[in-house]
Amino acid sequence: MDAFLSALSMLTSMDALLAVVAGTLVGIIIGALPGLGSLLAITMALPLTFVLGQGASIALLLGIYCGSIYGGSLSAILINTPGTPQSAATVLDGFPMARRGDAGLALGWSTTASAFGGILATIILAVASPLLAKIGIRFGPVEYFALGLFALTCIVTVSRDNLVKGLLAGLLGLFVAVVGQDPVTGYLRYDFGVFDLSAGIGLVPFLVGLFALSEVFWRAAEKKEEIGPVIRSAFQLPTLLDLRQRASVLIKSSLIGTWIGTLPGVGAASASMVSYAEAKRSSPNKDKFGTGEPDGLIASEAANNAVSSGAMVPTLSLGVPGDPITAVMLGALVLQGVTPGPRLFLENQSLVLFIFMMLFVANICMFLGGMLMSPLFSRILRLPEPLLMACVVALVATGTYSINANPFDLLVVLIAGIAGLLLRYNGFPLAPMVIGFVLSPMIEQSLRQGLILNQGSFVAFAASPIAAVLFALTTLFLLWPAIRLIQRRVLQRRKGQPSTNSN
Amino acid sequence: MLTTITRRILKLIVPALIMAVASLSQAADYPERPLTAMVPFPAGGSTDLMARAIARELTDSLGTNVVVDNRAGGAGTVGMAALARARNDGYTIGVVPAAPLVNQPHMRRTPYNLDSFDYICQFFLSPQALAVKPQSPFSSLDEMVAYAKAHPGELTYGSPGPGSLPNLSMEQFLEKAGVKVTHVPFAGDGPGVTALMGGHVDMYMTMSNVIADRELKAIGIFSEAPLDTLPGVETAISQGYDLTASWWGGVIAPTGIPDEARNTLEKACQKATESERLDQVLGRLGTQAAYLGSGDFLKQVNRISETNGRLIDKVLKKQQ
Repeated sequence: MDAFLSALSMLTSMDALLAVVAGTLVGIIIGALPGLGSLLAITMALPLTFVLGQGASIALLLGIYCGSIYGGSLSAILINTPGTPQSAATVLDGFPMARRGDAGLALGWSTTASAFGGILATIILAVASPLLAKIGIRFGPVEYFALGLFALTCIVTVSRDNLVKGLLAGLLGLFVAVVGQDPVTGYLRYDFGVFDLSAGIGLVPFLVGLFALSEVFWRAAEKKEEIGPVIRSAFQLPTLLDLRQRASVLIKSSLIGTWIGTLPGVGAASASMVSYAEAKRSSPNKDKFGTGEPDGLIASEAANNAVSSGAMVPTLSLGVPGDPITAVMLGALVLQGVTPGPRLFLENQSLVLFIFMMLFVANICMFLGGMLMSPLFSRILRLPEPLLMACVVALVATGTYSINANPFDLLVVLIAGIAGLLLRYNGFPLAPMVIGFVLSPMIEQSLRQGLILNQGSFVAFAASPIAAVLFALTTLFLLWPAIRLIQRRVLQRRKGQPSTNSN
Repeated sequence: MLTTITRRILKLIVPALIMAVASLSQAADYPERPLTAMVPFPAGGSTDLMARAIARELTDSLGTNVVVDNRAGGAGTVGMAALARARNDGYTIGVVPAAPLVNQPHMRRTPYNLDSFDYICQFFLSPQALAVKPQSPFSSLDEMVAYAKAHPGELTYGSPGPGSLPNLSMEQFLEKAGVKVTHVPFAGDGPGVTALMGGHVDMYMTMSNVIADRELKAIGIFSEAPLDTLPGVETAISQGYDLTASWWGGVIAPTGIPDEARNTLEKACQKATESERLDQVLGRLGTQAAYLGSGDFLKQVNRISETNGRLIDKVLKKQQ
């Protein structure tokens, strides 16, 4: 109780509250700018923590963390470019919704789902973090491989128009991520003697080029027969009835996000894809996925924001960061004289409580901030297109360059942009490529680690119960259309008449 | 509009010209403008935090700002390449850990080598230690070695990456002990330590502070003397294996900086390592201030680069 009271008094101090509000708003803006991600936002704020007190520093960083992950969805919905890699899956249904004229509703759903995911994850975290940490460490290479494979099935989902082209794009994505140093032997692959290629293709330049720049090229190349759809951009919260109908997706996606967040090294980008794949498997509206289905948007956004809380579990309780962003947070905590680890929960209970409360407050700020700010962002769409596109190019270039000051990254943006244009022109979906690219390192490394640990035997992979369940889900998901087909045939034969249901 | 811009440019240029002329007339005072400290790893990581800590000390003793510039990528090689390309006027320095200096050039074609840099000082050092999984039956290096001899190919150990310092020092140890243990590389300490905690690998080699912070059980430290942070853990030397291994790093610069700049920086660096404030930050990051002057630092770099080059040839290149 003492710990609770002292946490509460830390929370209600003026500077901590100011810091969390400012952090969230700044985070939303930075997250929404394509190319500038959570990592950059947090590292930019890092020097400030040298000056601020412990409480305010932590509040600021948590606010930025939550805000920036949510902010990524704004540009995903409005300009078909994930503002942060974590929102890559949000594009899939968010942009079609906006294009259809439901931009306001899409923003409403993403805001609601983000806040819901974040808050639910925080509550779970507060109650169960020591337990979750224990489950997290049961995930070894074999289990990670199974998880990665399951997440990969969402390629099937997003390439509904042409499965073959989707799979090819997915393979291409898996392959592009292979460039650079081999994670097991340290050997260089496909560097063609070019030094910069030996560092591999960066996620941010790749993503930004593939989506944002190719979108600019595409629009510039398009014949201007029709003036772009006038998008009604008022922020629109989903109705309560809608909310009730989609509550199961919302809750399930938040749980998936929380849980994946607790696994070190997986991260929000993969989490939103796993959640999207699962929603596609189980949602009653699954056939509409990829065409602007709110369920898809919810799945992605609820999960990626739940990750931000979930990732604090291994960070705080094991001292092991869940993703690069929490790694920076860990560094900041250490600088504040807090040593995360098993002892933190025993020795500094009030600080742990304070962090949970702050996450809660940050998510509420994010909801309100999103409501206030997203109409502002949707106004972007009303700008004359050439101007908007020019701004996108400038933002993307400065954003990408600012991360490492490496001109090679700009070259990657350009090449990825041209590749994206060519792919689109030939009817290849872009999303599978990103999915492959994001998941490739996890799948490759865990597969090869698993093989090393099991003396090269694949059989051992099925021996792990967790992995076996994931493998079964993956198989079921892939075979589902076939099973449905057989089922229908059998039914037809029994009834002795052709079915009129072609679905 | 145009005139305001011109006026602004003039406002910037004129004082700069005056300063340039003034500096020509008396070039003796180094440093006369802020320094850039390149860090080949991203902001917020432990290398970056240490770089910022020493930059603060250098700022104080040099009397001018030392600004940290992160150039991440390619296991540190991208930043090292940028540093090697930088102007060698003494105003661009690098704060770097050992791996991109002594390991990476043996693993890939880097646009730099040991001769691309001037070595100013080493300022930190953190011994490595070998941790074992929870409920591991081993409590000393000998027990582990005896088991590995009796059950070849059964034990596994993890490291933060292929060709990382812990990977190579573990291989060096195994070579000395004459046993073979399978290496499982991870993408950094985060996933690696979790895998150890979950019992997915039997052992994990890393920096001693990583082990101390997570309260893992260690069976050997590769330092000269036991550490306070790991009570009860004996050194490899006292267990009969003559081997030390650590994570270390220092301040370097593009080769051929003016002697004056080098001397000033070396002195400032020595002063920094004596400061309590630096020691505190390093302590929180689990490492310690350890000064080596320009000459000794260069000797150490050459020595370890040679050993690691041989180990990399033996361990990594053989696997292909």
